[in-house]
Amino acid sequence: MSIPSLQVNFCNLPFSNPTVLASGILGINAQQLKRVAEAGACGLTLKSIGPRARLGHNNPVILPYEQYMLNAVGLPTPGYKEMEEKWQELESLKKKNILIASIFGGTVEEFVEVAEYVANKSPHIIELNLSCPNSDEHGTAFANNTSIVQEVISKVKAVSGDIPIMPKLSPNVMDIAEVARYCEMSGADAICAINTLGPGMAIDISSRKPILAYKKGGLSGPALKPIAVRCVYDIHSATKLPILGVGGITNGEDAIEMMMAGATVVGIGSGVYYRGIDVFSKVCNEMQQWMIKNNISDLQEIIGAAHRQ
Amino acid sequence: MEKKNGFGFARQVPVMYSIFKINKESPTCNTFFFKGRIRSFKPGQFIMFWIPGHDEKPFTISYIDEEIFGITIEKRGKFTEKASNLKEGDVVGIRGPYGTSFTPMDNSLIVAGGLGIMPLRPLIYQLRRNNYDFTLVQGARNEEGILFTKEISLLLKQENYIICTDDGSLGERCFTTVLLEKCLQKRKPSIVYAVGPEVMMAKVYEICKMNNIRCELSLERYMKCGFGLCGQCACEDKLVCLDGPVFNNNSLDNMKEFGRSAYLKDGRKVPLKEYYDYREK
Repeated sequence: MSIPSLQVNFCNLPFSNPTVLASGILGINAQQLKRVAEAGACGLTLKSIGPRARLGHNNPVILPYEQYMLNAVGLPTPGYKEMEEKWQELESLKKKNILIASIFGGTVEEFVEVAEYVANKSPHIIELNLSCPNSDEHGTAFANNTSIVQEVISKVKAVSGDIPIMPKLSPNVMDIAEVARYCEMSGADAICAINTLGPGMAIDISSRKPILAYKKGGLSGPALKPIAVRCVYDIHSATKLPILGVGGITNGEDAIEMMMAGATVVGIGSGVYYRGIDVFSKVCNEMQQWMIKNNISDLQEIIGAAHRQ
Repeated sequence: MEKKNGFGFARQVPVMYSIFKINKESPTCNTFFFKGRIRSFKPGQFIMFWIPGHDEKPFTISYIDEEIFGITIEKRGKFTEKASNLKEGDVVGIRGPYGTSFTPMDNSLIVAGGLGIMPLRPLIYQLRRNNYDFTLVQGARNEEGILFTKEISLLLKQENYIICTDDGSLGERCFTTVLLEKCLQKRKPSIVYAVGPEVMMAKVYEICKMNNIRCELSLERYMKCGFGLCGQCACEDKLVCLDGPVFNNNSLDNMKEFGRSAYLKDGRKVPLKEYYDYREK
């Protein structure tokens, strides 16, 4: 059998393979994103862009363990107005890769303000970060409030033109399917699920101090995968929206599993730590090996497969 | 799943050490000594130094032997101010070592500018242990900034240890790069190692390029995670924490941001001068 194609369509955009760099990992400049693209990622999510400069938290910001990591980087951003040069440098990446601009705001108005500006830069997709657990004013509370979710999405849609809007949802809700349904009703074009779980905490017992400077941090990495798979499964059951599934993917079989739950494309973040920047090409190769072994020629066959009777 | 990554272990949390001795190196510099070994440390690598409940910053190891290691910190900004108040018996966290190291070679030339002597000191010991020939050019703003000079002068022959200061208070009154050029006229080394302010290193890089000499420099950028995830310490497409901090001339050839720009804590790209002003705060 020849090497199977990993091509998929997501929001009518052709992805040469389903791997996406998750938001917040690398990507401080265009050159770094180019390196991630060369390492195999098709989708590239920019670090979340906010309305004004934010320093993020003090260190330590990331604590990796064998099966999970805690992070509280704290949404550092120079603010959308300070990124002109970066947008110019990103232009060349838009030919082969899918550029996803992640944005956040503290209020509905801030979301709209950033979205309007970012839409003018024509990324392929705008991701709305409704669910960062590591910031007081941009917290999970946002994602929990379905009426605010509705308001953000519909108002962002009004200023974003043809660019697909993809809210990123938090697992820290009673019913993620319910939130996804509200997103669909409000005009969202896709769902990104999930953001980090928690937050969690780790305390150093000799100094008796929480290790993360922000004390609490979102949980990601392999341990998050079952939660992410369940969330994607629930969202796929409840809506018709295409899903970017993210949470704990480090190898090809993880990616296949996430797609069977209902994801069309898969995000990788912590996996960059566990397997290196070339985790993207590794995952792609492993997916192809699995496809060959199981006689699958088109990934369409496996998307949502776990739902079929 | 692969458990092995570039760090040896997937778990990267601070290991707690108690300070057992503090040496005052200058009015603003302290070396904190710890009992224990930093597993597989190679000169040039760095560690993350955590003051519990406060912040964590990258530092180099300035002294290491079988039983103890030392970290020298100059009081400069908020974090180092806090560090300067640490006392013997206080407990701090260390993770690492991280990053790349110097390639030990015979017949080398070392250029140390100011605090740049700190990561180079374990290299000096390593080269001595290997019986390698080398010359050290050490410079600083003034006499106070020439650290470890008594100790180093015991290790090196006089003709292999050249000191300069900006104000002439110790050694020659000139920049290290002037002495580097003079040395190159006499003898061509197999490699130049340099650590210091980036303007100095950029000049060293230029001089080495003109003379077709291999060089290894240690870069500094604002760091957050320390192991290649957050992307903060970028220099072009390279990560100073993972691909560096030691870069050779071949890598530097493709790093346009070297000597020019860096990223502030919020991710804004600024000229190097503005970055250095920010770091002093």
